[in-house]
Amino acid sequence: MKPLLLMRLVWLLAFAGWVNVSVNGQDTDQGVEFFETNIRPLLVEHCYRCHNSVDLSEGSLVLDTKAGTLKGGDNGSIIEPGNVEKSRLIAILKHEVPGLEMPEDAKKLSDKEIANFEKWISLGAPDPRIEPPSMESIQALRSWDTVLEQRKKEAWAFQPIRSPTVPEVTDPRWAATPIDRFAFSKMQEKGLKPVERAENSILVRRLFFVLIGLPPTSAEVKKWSQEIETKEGYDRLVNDLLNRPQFGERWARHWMDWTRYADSHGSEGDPGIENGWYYRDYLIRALNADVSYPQLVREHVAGDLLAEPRINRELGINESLIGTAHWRMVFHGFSPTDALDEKVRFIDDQINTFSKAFLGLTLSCARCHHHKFDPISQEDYYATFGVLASCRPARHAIDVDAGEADRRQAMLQLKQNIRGELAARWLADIQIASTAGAAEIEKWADIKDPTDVRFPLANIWRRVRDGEAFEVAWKDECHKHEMHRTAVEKYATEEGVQYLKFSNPATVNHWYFEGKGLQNKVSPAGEFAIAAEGDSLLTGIYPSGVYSHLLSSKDPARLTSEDLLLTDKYQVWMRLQGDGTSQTRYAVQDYPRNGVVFPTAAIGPKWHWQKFDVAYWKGDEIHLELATGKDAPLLVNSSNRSWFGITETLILPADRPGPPEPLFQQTGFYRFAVEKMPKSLEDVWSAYWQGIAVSVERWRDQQCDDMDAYWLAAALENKQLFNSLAADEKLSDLIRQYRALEESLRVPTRVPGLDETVGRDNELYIRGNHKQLGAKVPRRFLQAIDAKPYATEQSGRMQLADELLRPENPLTYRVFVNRIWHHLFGRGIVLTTDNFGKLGSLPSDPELLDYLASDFRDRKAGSLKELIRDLVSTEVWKLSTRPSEESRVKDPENDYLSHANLRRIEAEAIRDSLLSVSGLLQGEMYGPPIDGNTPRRSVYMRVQRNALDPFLRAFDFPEPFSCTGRRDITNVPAQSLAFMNDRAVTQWANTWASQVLGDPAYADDASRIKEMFQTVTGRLPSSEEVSQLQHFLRDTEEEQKKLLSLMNAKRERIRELQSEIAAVVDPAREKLIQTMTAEAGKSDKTSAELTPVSRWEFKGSLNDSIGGLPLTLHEGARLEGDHLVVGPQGYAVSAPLKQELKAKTLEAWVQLDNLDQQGGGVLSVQTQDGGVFDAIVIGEQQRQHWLPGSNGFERTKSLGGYDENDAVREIVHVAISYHPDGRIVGFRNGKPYGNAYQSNGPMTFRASETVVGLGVRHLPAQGNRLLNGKIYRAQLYDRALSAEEVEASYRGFPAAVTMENILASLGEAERNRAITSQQELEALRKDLSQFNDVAEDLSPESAWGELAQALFSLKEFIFIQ
Amino acid sequence: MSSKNRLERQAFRPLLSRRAVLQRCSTGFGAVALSGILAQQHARANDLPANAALKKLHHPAKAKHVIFCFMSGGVSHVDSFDPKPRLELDHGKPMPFPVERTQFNNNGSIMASPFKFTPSGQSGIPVSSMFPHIARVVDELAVIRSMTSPVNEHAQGNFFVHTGFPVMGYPSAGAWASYGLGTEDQDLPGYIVLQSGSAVPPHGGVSLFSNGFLPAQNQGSIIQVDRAEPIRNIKPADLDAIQRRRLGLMKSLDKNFLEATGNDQQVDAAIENFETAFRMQSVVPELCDISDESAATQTLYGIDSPDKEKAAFGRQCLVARKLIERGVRFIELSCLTKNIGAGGAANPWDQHGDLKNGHGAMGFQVDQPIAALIEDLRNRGLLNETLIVWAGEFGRTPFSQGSDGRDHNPYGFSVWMAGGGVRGGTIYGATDDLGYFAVEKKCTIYDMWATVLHLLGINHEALTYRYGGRDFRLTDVHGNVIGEVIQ
Repeated sequence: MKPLLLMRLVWLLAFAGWVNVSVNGQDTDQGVEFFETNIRPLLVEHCYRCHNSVDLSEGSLVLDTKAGTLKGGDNGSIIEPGNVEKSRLIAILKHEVPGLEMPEDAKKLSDKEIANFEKWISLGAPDPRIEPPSMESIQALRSWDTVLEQRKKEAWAFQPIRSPTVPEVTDPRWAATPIDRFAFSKMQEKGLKPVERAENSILVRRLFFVLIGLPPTSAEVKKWSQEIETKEGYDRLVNDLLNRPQFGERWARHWMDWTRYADSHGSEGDPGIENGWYYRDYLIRALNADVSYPQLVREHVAGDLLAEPRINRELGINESLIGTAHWRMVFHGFSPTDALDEKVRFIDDQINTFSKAFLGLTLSCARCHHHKFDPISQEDYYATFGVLASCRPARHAIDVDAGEADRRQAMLQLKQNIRGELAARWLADIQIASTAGAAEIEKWADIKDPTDVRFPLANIWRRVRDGEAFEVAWKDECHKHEMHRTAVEKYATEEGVQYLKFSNPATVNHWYFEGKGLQNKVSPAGEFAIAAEGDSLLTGIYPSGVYSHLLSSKDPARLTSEDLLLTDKYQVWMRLQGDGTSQTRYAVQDYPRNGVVFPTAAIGPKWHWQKFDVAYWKGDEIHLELATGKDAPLLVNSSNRSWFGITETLILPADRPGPPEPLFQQTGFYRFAVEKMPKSLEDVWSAYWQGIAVSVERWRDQQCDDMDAYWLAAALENKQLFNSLAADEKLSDLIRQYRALEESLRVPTRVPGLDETVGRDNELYIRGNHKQLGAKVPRRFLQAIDAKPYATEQSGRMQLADELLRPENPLTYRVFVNRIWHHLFGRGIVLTTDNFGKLGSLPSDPELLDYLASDFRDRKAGSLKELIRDLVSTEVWKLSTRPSEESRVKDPENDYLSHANLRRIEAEAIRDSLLSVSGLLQGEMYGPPIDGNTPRRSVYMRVQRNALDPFLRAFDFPEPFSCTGRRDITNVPAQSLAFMNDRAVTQWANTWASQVLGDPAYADDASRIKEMFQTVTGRLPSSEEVSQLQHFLRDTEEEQKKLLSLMNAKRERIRELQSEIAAVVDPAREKLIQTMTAEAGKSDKTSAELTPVSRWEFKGSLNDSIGGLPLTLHEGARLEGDHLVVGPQGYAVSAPLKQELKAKTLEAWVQLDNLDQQGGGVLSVQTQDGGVFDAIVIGEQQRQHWLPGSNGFERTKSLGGYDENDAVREIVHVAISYHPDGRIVGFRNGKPYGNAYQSNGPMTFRASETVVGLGVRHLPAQGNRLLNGKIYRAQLYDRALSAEEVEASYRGFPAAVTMENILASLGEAERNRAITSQQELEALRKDLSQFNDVAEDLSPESAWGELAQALFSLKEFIFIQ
Repeated sequence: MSSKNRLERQAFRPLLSRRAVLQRCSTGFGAVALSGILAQQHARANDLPANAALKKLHHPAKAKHVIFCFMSGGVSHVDSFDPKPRLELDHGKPMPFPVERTQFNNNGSIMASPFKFTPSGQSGIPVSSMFPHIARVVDELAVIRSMTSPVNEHAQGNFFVHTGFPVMGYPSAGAWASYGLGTEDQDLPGYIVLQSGSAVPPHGGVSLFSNGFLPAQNQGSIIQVDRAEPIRNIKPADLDAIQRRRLGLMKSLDKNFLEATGNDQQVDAAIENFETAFRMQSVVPELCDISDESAATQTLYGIDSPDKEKAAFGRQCLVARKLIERGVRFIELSCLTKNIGAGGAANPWDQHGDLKNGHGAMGFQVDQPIAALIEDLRNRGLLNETLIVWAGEFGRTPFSQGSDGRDHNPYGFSVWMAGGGVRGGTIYGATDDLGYFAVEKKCTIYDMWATVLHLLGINHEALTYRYGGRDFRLTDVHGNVIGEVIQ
């Protein structure tokens, strides 16, 4: 260190000390002054580095505070104030204590300096230092390299992986495997004795949960409990489980925790990560196939760049590509005004997750400064940052089709043939057309669109007709065109800040071509595309440029520019053509979402200049992007076919007018005609056809230029050149062959990933502030492991993958085997699975960890299954969970594994187990994410950042924002509440109970009880437990009977009251309605204009007054006054529909008997067997809520409207409209109810196969599908009504008069009677409402349901021993 | 303890001691589950509940509870608490200097406030006609006019205001308060978010109320005060007698298992957890039942208002008072949308257009209930110990968006505090004469939370949690207590 700098620091620290003088009253001012002048500088210079309170205290000695100095170190005090003789410090400074010559690595202090120390001690060691110095000042005492070296030396995780000697063990139980020998030696060393092995039944259960995350069936417990008695049997079970597909599902979910898997990006809008789930399936497949760990690491980091990717022949996909999807599972802000800030944030998200997951390091901590504790510099952070900042969010097609190349070759050949045939046909046609003579021009006389290819001829014809001399007019037209043409060309080159023409590959070699559609990069003029369907032969003929669809519009394509730094206010123009499903945008700082200041534009079918004003983004970097529908990095649409073409880009200063619209489609004609020097219209006519014939010939011979191509394209569009499948057999045959081949090409599957652009070193951001640039940091790995910059033109991800796996990097393998250990043993050898740094915990057994890491790397070649097999086959894994008294005292944390750890299973395992036990779990693997209603394994559930599943969250499913190697295991009431009251849990319990009851295998209650108990706990119940359970059953049944009769009495009374009220209220309502309808009819015309396809009014009739679909009543449903009464079993069904229904509106006026109904349907459209339906449903997923019900909830989502509180007292109007685009909108009393949502509908309901149900959700009519209430009117529309229409309809039939209205219209006595009855009714209803859940269940089975639910809630079910 | 010792201890001990594991396992809403262990701890002299992470307060507290009135979407400060006469003078003129990027880039000219300001209370703090009721209690308020945020969009702004970080994954302020100070009522969470009617979580979703890496019992629990089931699964699915019988059976069978595990504490805690949950089934609906409140009280809060949103928000405020009475640590209120000018369910105050009507309606919704809450707490002697914080995620631009809206403005806006320990009748800081940038005593959201924690008796720098290799705190590495707004 330079002396000058040192002095400044000394003064700095000294000054910091002075502040404290007044605080310290005991030391004299002179004493303190002596200290400051003579002692503090020496301490700072020689001692602080190794003896400080901040980061290093060799020998536990701290010399930067008074307290520390007085306290001394491991060997006791070093100074005794006032007594020089007894102060060991002096002897140490005099180098009189062997081995403790201080200062270390420096020469002895001068005699004068030592004398000063003596004097200071004799003064009583005055010392004002109360607060320790800051970390910055301590670290400034050393150079970063020194700090790094020192930290690296001290950091256990950075030491090379050793191959430790396996300890000798004599106890035969513990000598069998190296792991046991390590573990047992450690126990012996710590004075611990292992407990006994766990019982076989417990081991079976443990193996099932740990390996596949599901409980064994009772039969499996029985079978394997016996078989695993022998080693062979045990191995068989382990193999069996490792080979089950559920193994991959279980372990993929662990892996997904490490890479914070998510299906959406979060933030405002929470957009989906389209096809992110391929990554989940990739993990499941890879783990089941036991793909080696190093291979998976490579694929995660750079799977898109591997020279020999892993191809899945069976599925025809490139698996390696999918590995990179985790890079994209970042949180994305919404429409940030500082786009670079957002980029820094999402790359930080990548670095944070990646470094924790694979290195066990908190690299993100070094974003603003050097890491505070670990050997990681701020440069290390930006070296990694540069790698990722050199990539862009992207999407890759993963398909591999071995035969495809041949088919593509054949298609190219066919295209050649088609070109020849087509040219011949056109030339023949032209021959005919040209003979027609100039009189034909007159037919074009009305063409006034200057972009029309016929416009020049029409125009000259008009000028001649209007009396101009031909020659004058012709020359003028030619001149005008030429002026325009040159103006167009000059404009771009002269005004443009940058102008690129895509005719020349060299000008666009800084653009990035992604996807098969862009394989040929720049195409010469005259390339063409064959229409994949319809009557047209060609989609178009094109000038030179870049096109995505020259072989097939299924081909993926994404064309992006290099990064453009906007040094000023600019506008960007692109000359484009596409099919309207492709998109273009400018991406600011790689931000992949859209927003007002991040616009996108669809690329339409005519050549056009697309303008983007980018003045707003002055100072930022952007790139331009063109992408087919599914190939945008994030903003995808679902079209399977999509294409675009581009010829030019132009960047202009923001204040310039845009480029003039070119008329190149006419240039070819003028160019040809001018040379012919026409003297008359006849000459022009003839030149036109001759010219186009020449262009066709040149096209045929692949000699044409842009002007020919524009002309031909325009003529094709105008049908001057024939373009129909109908007319030519030979051509159509060729086209059909081509189409057949094209059809056989798969629609590619695009999966999120990264694009390589060009490797660029990033600046260090001073204090993490992206607006304060430091020096560029070369892309490289951590300095402490390998400081060599990456020599690559690319991002460096390949090199990064290599670094993770190189022998000098001890982290990757240690971190991984520890993760696996954690999941198998419930606790890592290093407890902090994601942090191997200084703030993490130390390995409880470093030799064992190194043994595992080296064995995994060198002998097991990274086979996860081998690793797991080894670990679960050890004696230490098989121990009982019950701790010995000795271990409770000596090893309360169970660091040394003298017993196994008792564990609660994870959220997914809880849900999966419940489903599995209740027999509902479907084994279907893979595919798009599901919601919690689908009874499949939880690994497939959608991880929507803003709407994580509440059941899973209650059991500690992690928020997906960083690597989670070790989940929290908490104990919050939401968990108990879920087991007590979650409707799904109750339903699963009931399902299970009825299955067991219905199973003839069980002869009596006792055997059923045993079966159920064993299924849940893995053991047989004791006889005492059996009798407890039997008692419970009996008591519950009795209780239920009592409740049932009580409830029935109340129900009866309710019915009485309802009739009493109805007798008063119904006539009054009727009167009110009549008045109001009459008024509405006068004032509101709209409602009259709405015509449903069916209307049931129930005025003494079951007929449909419009569509003629009469109703049939079932099971006690009846007409009463002006309404239909449905429930408890009664419902009505219409005659089959006479027309097909797709978009539609269901509408009904209804009153409910009670508000606790859960799933009753008011009005439904359904197939005759009820297998497919859409219905207005009350309370099914959420009590007192209206819901668009559908089969299997396929088109159902919560509308999230208000609680329904009124429908028991008054009639409410409910409508649901199903829009053609799948949107579903709910209405209540004429107003929107909750929020509209997008479904995958509308469903098509075929004529004659469809019926309408009233009072039933769907057929067959049973259980909670039935509604209890009255329906006053029901209507069905064959289209989705708008909000205004629904409101009009509601107003048009104001049956929903409120009870207040009705009461007001009554006489006083009647009113009072109605009110009294109503009050009693309300009270009864409230009373009854708590009965209603059990109401359905009060069957003999329901006590069994209760029993099942109690068993589900047992701790023994969710804890594994 | 010297910092060296602290470091050493932290570096070399296992990250989670057994006790720490148990604490993480403790029931969210009370320490009952850990009665054995924690009772001993409780026995020591301590002015905080046993489930508090802090052993004792860093200094005497001036407030025990916080009510966070979060005005999602961003209230315009120049239309509410920061009058700018120049806006009226220069109405229709272009901004005199270049403006920062706005999210909608549709910047118009300077726009006068459609609301009139009146000096109110003894302090004479100007309050706009949007808040006539709050004007009545303005002497309780310390208005901070120089607040800033680094974020210009809703979701990240919401995360930033709630957690001090602009992304998901970090603990919300309420979680920090609950973590540090624990809960006084064993049957209720320490951090409760109230919703009613059509209220939904602001942009960013429920993660805004997350415990992040803090123990899960500190996560914000949403109570929908007017729903039949205010908390998910709180409504018993069975009759009481049946449920009790089932729980009895479970308890008896669980006991066998507990013994088999050698009385494992995790299992014990999980068993006890059912008891807490069982009690919550009655406690929570009772809290949400306001039928016992007098008609006068209900009127005071606006619960009888024909404006559905005001009535619903008033109900939140009334339930908030009941929660304060039960000792809940941190309560957050949620606004309801009027669907005016881009203000949707998640961002009701977001009037990019039609500011006059939108802000007018939103003001009408929250003004009376909040004022009622302040008065009611005062009358019950609870205002002294309850800190009320009123803030949105940013303010709005002094220039128009389109013709009649305002875009986001995080560069200077107003928030206010009232109640426990706040120096009422104070104006702190200032924006420039257009109300665009904070220019005097500029402060940050970190400062706001530092002040809140300070009033709760916490040194914001000392309430930390070690996670992923760092000691995290609500104020990250920033924050200064704003002394001038404190009594």
